This record gives sequence, C-alpha cells and structure tokens, in this order.
Amino acid sequence: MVRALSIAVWLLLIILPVGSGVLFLLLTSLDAKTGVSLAAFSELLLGYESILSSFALAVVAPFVACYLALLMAPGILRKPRLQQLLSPLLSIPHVAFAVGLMLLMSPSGWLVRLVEAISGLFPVPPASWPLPEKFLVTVIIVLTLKELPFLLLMISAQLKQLPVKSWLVQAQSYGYSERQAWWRIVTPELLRRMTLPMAAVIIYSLSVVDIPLLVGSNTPAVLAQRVYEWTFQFAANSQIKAMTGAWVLLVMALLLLLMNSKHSVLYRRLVLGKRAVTPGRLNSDKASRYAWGFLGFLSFGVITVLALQSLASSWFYPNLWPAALSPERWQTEWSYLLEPTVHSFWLALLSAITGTIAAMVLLQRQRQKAVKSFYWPVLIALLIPQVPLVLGWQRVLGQQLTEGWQLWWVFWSHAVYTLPYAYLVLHGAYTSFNEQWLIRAQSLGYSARAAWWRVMLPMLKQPVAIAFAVAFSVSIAQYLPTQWLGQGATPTLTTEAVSVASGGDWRIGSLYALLQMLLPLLVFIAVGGIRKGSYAEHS
Amino acid sequence: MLNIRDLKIELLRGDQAELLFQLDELTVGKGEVVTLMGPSGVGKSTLLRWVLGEPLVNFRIQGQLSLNGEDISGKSIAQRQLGMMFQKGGLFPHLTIEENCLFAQKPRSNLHRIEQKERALTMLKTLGLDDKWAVYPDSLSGGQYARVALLCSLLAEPQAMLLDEPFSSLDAGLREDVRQWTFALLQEREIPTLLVTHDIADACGREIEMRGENVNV
Repeated sequence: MVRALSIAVWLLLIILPVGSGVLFLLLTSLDAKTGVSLAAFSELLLGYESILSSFALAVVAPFVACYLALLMAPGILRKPRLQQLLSPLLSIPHVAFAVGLMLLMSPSGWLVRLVEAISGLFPVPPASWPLPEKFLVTVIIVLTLKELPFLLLMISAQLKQLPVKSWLVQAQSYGYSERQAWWRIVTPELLRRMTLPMAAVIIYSLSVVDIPLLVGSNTPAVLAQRVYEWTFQFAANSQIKAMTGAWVLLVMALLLLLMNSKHSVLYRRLVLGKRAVTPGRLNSDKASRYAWGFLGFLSFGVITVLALQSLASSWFYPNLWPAALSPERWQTEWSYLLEPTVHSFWLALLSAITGTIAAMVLLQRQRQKAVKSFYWPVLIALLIPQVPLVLGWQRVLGQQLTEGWQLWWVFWSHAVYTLPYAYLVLHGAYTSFNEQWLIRAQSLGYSARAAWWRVMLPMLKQPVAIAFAVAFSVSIAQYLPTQWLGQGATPTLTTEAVSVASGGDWRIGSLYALLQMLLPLLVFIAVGGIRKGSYAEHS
Repeated sequence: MLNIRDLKIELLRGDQAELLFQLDELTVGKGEVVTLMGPSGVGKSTLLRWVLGEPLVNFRIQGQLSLNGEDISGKSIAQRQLGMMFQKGGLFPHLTIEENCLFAQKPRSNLHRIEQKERALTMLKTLGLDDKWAVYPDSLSGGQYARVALLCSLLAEPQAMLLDEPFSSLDAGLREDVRQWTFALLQEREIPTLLVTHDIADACGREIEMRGENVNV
C-alpha cells in the first residue's frame, strides 16, 4: 500500500507538476506568435540591470543568511532552548515580515521616530536613510532576515545528526580554539549538508515576486517581477518578453545551482588550506549573541508594530506612539478581510495536511527500501524558479482555470510546495527512527501496521507536527501560484496584503499582514505544546 | 610528567552534591602508562574529561593539574597539549586521511606544509597504510582506524595522552595487536599516558583500582 501511495505522490505532486510545467513552457516557447524571440532576448540583455539585480538578490541574501546562520548556530549548541525562538520567526510570512520591517525601520518607521524623540535629529523623515521603502537593498535585507530562521532550523537538524561536541573537543586537543574548531571542522560538513536547503533558498530569492512588489525598486525591477508584470499585459510583445524572461530565469537558476554545488568544496579548500591559526579579529561568540538578541528583538518588534498600526486611529510622523487605539479599522475592514482569511486558512490546512502525509509516505517508502539518504528529486519543485514553472502550469491548465476549479488548482499548487518543505523538516527524525522500537512492539504481538500507528507515529508526533506547521506557513506565504492559478477568484491574505501594501497603504496592509502572520503563529504555538512522548525525549 | 593533586569530583543532583571520589595525588611519569580501572559510573571518564579540560556542567570538581611542572588547571583544552584517544571517533569522518593528518598538525607544528605532509606519510608508511592517504576514514578497517587515530593524536605533539576505553570497539583478534603497538609507541616517545578501562585485558603499566569514594594510589 505504501508503494502504491508513494507512486501516487510522485506522480501527482512531483513528476506531473514539474514535468508538465517545464514541458509546456518549452512547447509554448516555440510558438511563432508568443514564443521566445531573439529580439526580446537582446532587449532583455540590453536592459541588463534587471538581470544584475536578480543575480545580486539571489546571491547576496542566501549567502549572507547562510553565514549569519553559521555564526549563530553555536548558540543552539550551548542553549538548545534558542530553537524555540525559531518557530515564531518561521511563522512570520515574508510579506508580513516586510510590512512589519517597513513600519519599524523605514524612513518614517518607529526606529527613526525613536531617534527623533530622543535627539530631535529628524523633524522630517530622512531622505538618505539606508533602508528606503523601494530599494533593492531593502529586498535583500528582508529576504536575508527571513531566510535566516529557515537555515538555522536546517542547521539545527543537522547538528543533531553529527557528533559536533566530540569533534570540537578533538580539534581543541590539537590546539585549535573552540571558535576555530567550529569554522574549520564543523562548518565544512554543515555546508556540504546544507547544499540542498541553500539551493531552495537561492532559487526562491531568484524568483520571488511579492517582496520586490512591496519593497523593491521599480527602476528597474528584478527580472522575476518584470516577467510577472508582462504576463498581465495582453500585447503579444509583452507575452514574448514574459516567455523569454522566464527562460533567462531558468538559465540563471542553472548557473546559480552550479555555483551553490561548488560552495562547500570551495569553503573547505580555503579553510583547510589556510595555514595561519591566529584567532580572527571578529569575536564570533559575542557577534553570535548580538545576532540572536537582534533576531529576538526584530521578531518582537515586527509583531508589536503590526499590532499597534492595525489598532492606531491616527499615527502621524514623528509621534512615537499612536494618538489613540481603537478597533475601528478592524471593524470597517472585517467584511473585506473575512474572505481572504477563510481562503488562506482552508488552503493552508488542506495543503499542509496533504504535504505532510505525502512526505511521510515517501519517507516510509525510503525506510522500507532501507534508504536513509536525502532524496533530492523530492525537492525539484524548489529548485526551479517559480515564475517559469507556474507560468507553465497556467498555460497547461488554460480553460480549466476559468471554469470554477480555481480553488482546487490553487490547493494542488500549494501542496506541490508544502511537500518538499515537510520532507526537509521530517527527513532526519523519520529516517533515523530506531527500528528497535518497532521490533519490540511487534515482539509484543502487534502487527507491523499497528506498531507504526501505536509506536512510531506517537513517538514522531513532534517532528510531524513541526513539519505540518512549516508546511502550513509555506502555504500561507504562497503568492505567485495563488495569483496566477486563482485568476483573482481565490484572494488570500498574502495576495491582498501585497496588493494593498504595494500601493503604499501600510495601515490597511498591516491588518492583512497581522492576520497572515497570526494564522501560522497559532499553529506553531499549538505545535509547541506537543512535547510529551516525542522521539527526542525517548532517544 | 602529568600530576593530579587534591582532586575531588562530586556529581550534582539539583541542590545536592554526591561525592563520586577523591584522590590525594597521582603522578604519571615520562613514558609511563597508568591504568585506572573500575566499574561503569565510578567516574573514570569524568576524571579523564576533567584532565582534558572539558567543561562538565553536572559536576563540581576541585583539584590541581600540572604538566611537566606547570599548573595547567586554568588552561583551555587547546592550550593544555594533551592528546586524546577515545572509544569512538578520533578521525573526522568528512576529512580524508591526508586532511586529518594535516589538520592535526596545523596549530602547533612549525614545519612547512610539505614537511608536515612528509612527516605524516612517513609515519603512515611504517604502518603500511600510506596507500590510504586519500581515502576517507570509513573505508579503514577497525585496526587501521585505531592506528591512524593514534597517529593523528601524536602528530599534534601532545605532552601527555589520555585514553578512554580505546580498544573496546575492536574485535578480539585485533585488540591485542593494536594494544601492544599503541603502548610501545607511547613508551618509545616517552609520553605519560593515563588509560581508563573496565577491562583488565586492556590494562598496562601501573594499575589503580577505582572503587568507593577514596582512590588509593
């Protein structure tokens, strides 16, 4: 039965979506009227700023996030409780985070108001503030900070599988300091194991559309955003540009994946070949503590400022606090908020359940075949930029999308993305589950299936619940599939937050962003309660 | 010469401290091997980890530790210059044998990289393992692994060695062979060695039985 189910998962959530998307994109690219053209290609190359911006975004944000995560990870070894901070951070969707960050750090944000209140330096919002509202650097910062908790979660999962403490002691007995041992012995191995999660993060950064729409520059916009905008323009010329741009994104993705695959090898060569063992100037222990403090402050700040803004009746610059708090905006907007909230909730619930169960089916099949290694084709949807892939789906589905089936297709597209994330989170705990527990249960007279239900599932309930929560927030954050396959008929909190806030209305945007954040946060809090009897406690 | 004085190890359970054992003085001379024997849970490994300099959170430990006359109690693991060979591990699984050997030498050796390489290769040749230079540790047999692990520890130029059940993962046939080779090498290099084991067959040199709270040397 597991075999049949795993074949169904492979077909419905991996092979068909990826195969059909890429294949149809390929076929429509050859269309004489709206296919790829050399003229559009050279036009794109001439306006190279978009390509460069996309490239910078896809390189800087993931790699800065990666090294920040590596700097902060020893903190998890010392204080495993820090992991609990990751859950609320992970639960904040990118869009809500961007809106909160802007309310906190933009030229008219709360931090500038605080400086003004203390020093009187900024009677008007500063023009040359390093984090303006529409700027590539702002997009990079938002993505870096949002990718950081995900990479930390991935690193902490790897740390549990490696004898890191004994490696550190061993290296110290050779004469290395603990810090040097971390960067020279543990980091190369972590980077090797992080190749796939990093690939997912890089591809996401390359093809992200919602964040650039919110806080990115329009002159010029990143390539993914331009392709997205061209698809909404019905002129044949725009369709050709969209198709050509999608292929350029695919080629860039290939280059970036190649670069990423060499990352750990290059790091290892550099760090193991380096002769001097003098301590670096940067005190990474201190920096790590500051980084954790900053991340904690930021998540608290983002949630607080979103809540305050949503309740503020008026809050003009340079006032540090709103003039008055009232639920008026919630009351007036509630009728508009209800439909996207309901859509978001049901889509996230169903696609997270589907994605988590599908991941468990694949992992169970791996256990049956005694394959413990990470099976990268499961992540293939994360390794193809979303813009060309979803564009392919849109073309394949064609008429289907206007016949009242939009909600189901959006659900399916979300499940395609919740599966790989659930697999990423569950893989370690599931494949390393000690077979002895099942054998012991069977020796007591339980069938193999009963042992799975009564022993394995209860013992793995914590990682399964975390995988569900991550999948839930992945679905909540989906923008492009919801927008393109939903055809406007399935508004969610994410699509509405982007359309309201990208128009510059941060006040109304804060309502959508807050709700968008609250749904996954509630799920993460509920999951936090599931501790008793988890595998972590038995092992 | 490794010297431990006035050592008292207590296990902390909440607010309570339970005395594991105390030891007035223990000296391990040049080239000498001292074996600490005793059943599990008596505190043998804790003693060894304290000598190594590992922070031990659930213990309260008092005592003085000196190496060649110098007090090293307050020094970090990296500064103590003590080699270690424990039951599991010893070679980093994600580095090749070459990389393991070079990694072990880098902090303390004044030799050029090429000379470090030659030194490691020469030692490997004496074991007939120079053909394993480019392979990863998981392709070594149990005996080969134990030998290369000790070799790496020695490449780091330790002033004393700490061995914690170093042969327990080896099968009976190999065990005696590796044991003899290890102690001969350590004695030849005049390295004071403290060995912890619960198996009489592994013991070597002066034997100290750890039973009860007072350990008599």
